[in-house]
Amino acid sequence: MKEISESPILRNTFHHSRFSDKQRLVDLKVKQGFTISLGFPTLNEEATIGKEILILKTELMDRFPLLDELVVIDSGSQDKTRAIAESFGAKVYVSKDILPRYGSYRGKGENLWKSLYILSGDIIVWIDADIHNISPKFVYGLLGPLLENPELSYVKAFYERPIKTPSEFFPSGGGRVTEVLVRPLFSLFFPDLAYLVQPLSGEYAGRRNLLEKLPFSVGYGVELGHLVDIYDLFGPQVIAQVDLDRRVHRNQSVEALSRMSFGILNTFFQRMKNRPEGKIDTPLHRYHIALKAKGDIHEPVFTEIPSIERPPMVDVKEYKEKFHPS
Amino acid sequence: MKVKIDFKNLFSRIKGSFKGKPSSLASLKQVGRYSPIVTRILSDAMLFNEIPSPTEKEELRIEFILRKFSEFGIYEPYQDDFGNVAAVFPASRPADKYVLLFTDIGTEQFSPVDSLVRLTENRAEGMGIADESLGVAALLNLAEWIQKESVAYQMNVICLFTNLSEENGEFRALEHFIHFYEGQIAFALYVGSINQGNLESKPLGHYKLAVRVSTPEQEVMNVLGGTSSVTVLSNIAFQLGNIQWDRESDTVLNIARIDAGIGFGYYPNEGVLELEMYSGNPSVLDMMKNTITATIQKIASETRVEVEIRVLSYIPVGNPELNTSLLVTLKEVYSRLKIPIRSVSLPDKTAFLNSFQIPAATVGISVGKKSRKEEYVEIAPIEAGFKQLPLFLDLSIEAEELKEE
Repeated sequence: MKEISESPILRNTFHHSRFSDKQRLVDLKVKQGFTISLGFPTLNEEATIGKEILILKTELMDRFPLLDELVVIDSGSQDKTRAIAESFGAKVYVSKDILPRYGSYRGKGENLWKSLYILSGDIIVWIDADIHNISPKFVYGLLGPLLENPELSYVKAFYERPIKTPSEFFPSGGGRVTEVLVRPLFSLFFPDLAYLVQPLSGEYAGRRNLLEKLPFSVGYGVELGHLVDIYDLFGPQVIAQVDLDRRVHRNQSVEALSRMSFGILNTFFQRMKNRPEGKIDTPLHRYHIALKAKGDIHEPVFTEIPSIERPPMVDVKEYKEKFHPS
Repeated sequence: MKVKIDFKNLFSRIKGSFKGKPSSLASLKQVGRYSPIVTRILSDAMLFNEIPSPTEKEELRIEFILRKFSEFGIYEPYQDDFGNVAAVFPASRPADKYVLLFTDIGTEQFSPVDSLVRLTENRAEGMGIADESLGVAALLNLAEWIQKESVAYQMNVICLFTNLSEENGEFRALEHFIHFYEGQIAFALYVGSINQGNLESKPLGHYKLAVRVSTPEQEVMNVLGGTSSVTVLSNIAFQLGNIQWDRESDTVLNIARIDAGIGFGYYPNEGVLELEMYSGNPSVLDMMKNTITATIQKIASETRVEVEIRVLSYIPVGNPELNTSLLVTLKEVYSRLKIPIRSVSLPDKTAFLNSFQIPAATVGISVGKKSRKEEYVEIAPIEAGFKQLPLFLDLSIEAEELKEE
């Protein structure tokens, strides 16, 4: 067991209120000559995207120029996500139109990987677009540690994630996939990372010079893949986490969480291929198998969940020409 | 952080940083679909709306306003123990008179789930947004604009965030604040969320009463029967419903709610009846209240049950003559901003200020709807809704001259 002082991640655990002086953050940003980009990966988020853009753009671009750009990278929404995002002032891109030579896959990780090519900032913040109680703290909370401490390069959010009923919220005890899958895995194989409260949170910020060196899993495993790769390449001392109090969003069904867990496990085992403690000699099966009750019969449902890995962006020719021309 | 200072000294502290430019909205240029002032108001309204209310003295909501003031550069606002927070801006030249712009920071409609605002292309939807989160946000943005642009008018301006929840039909917080400025407030404008363009030509007075009835407890199967709260309340409602009221003064009684018993298997020995009374004539309104109270007490006496009558809310009948110059000016404001005018005759909380001889009216920042099932504000009218405020301040000196004539 580690004491707080021995765990780099616990040492770098903060509450968002520490960074609530937005003008101080703007001053820190200007002093260090950084530019900062905010990216929203989206797929059918018309219910929440307008509010997120309006509040963050107003508070963190208009009133306090902490952000230099705000961009939506959309996976092909069938609803009004793109139109609403544009009407509230975001730049909108469709994921498959970015770096078309490299093809296109469906998944949040694919969006994030491609957004690295589009976004121009030295620091990138990614925020999920399904947050009902968005507020500026979701962004300045993540940026604060990076602007204050040059030793930190990657900051993750954590928060209470209540279950929403028609009239009330109930504590959920944290993310379900985190507690039944990821925390046990980290405890077994990467105990330093088990000190993250919510390793799968969808809100995080990082320095470009770190993010561009990471491979990106295109699907559900992108967050876990990041953490394992950052741990291997840079060590846990570059990771911080920030308490954002509470995040209200739509709650997923157990069936959806099962598919998510399959994708995460796939990413995890890919990372373990070259480690003696996790070596698996035979190929893994391709499909997530669920059972659907039909009367007295349980019918199997096979779902292929992509486990494609995108290479580190810094190895992509077009990216190198754009960001590292020398 | 709670700052408490002598209100009279506040003025000079802000004055020091004031340049006294003439007012202009030219700096608020349209960018994209909605102008920055609209997005700022919406952003503040949504964030404010999600702060729980009511809380003890609305401390959470006051904290939000104070933090905003601090970000705007208003460092020592007025704050008191009644739940009032205010920024006071001096006139371009020394002036005795003040224009009071005020709004209500509390709501009784808060819900942890339904107060999370949803934003569509055209609307902001969520419980509380029309009551009065949009009004609060508009007034905050006026304060920000005046402070940051160093705007000054010919009269001093107060932006007051108060708590209009009533105790026994009295607005204690507002009354406390008004006493500081007795005789100095030229006009008062309540900044509401919806009903843009409404012109209160004849503000009605209003009483809301709660009648609680208790009858002796009994077993539900008692064959001898007895008088239940349901029987008594139905009888009261029936008898009150048969009284004819003065139509010329728009006098109306509304039986708003009857609630009795706790469900099947229990004898309904307790219940409540809520009554709303409206009238455009102060003496008729008082007579109505007295008549209704006497009728209820008579029925209670005849049926030998206990009743308790409580005033939940009281708004006095407004004074249209006192408000004349204010309404003329508001008409001019609406006309210049092409806001459609609707002449209405409804109860208006600002009539409370008429009793202090302060001309007072309500302006709505947008149009929308407030009901039990849905609550929303339209986005498009917000820009004109906001512009009412500085335009009214521009014209207020003319309104003052008109009043004196």
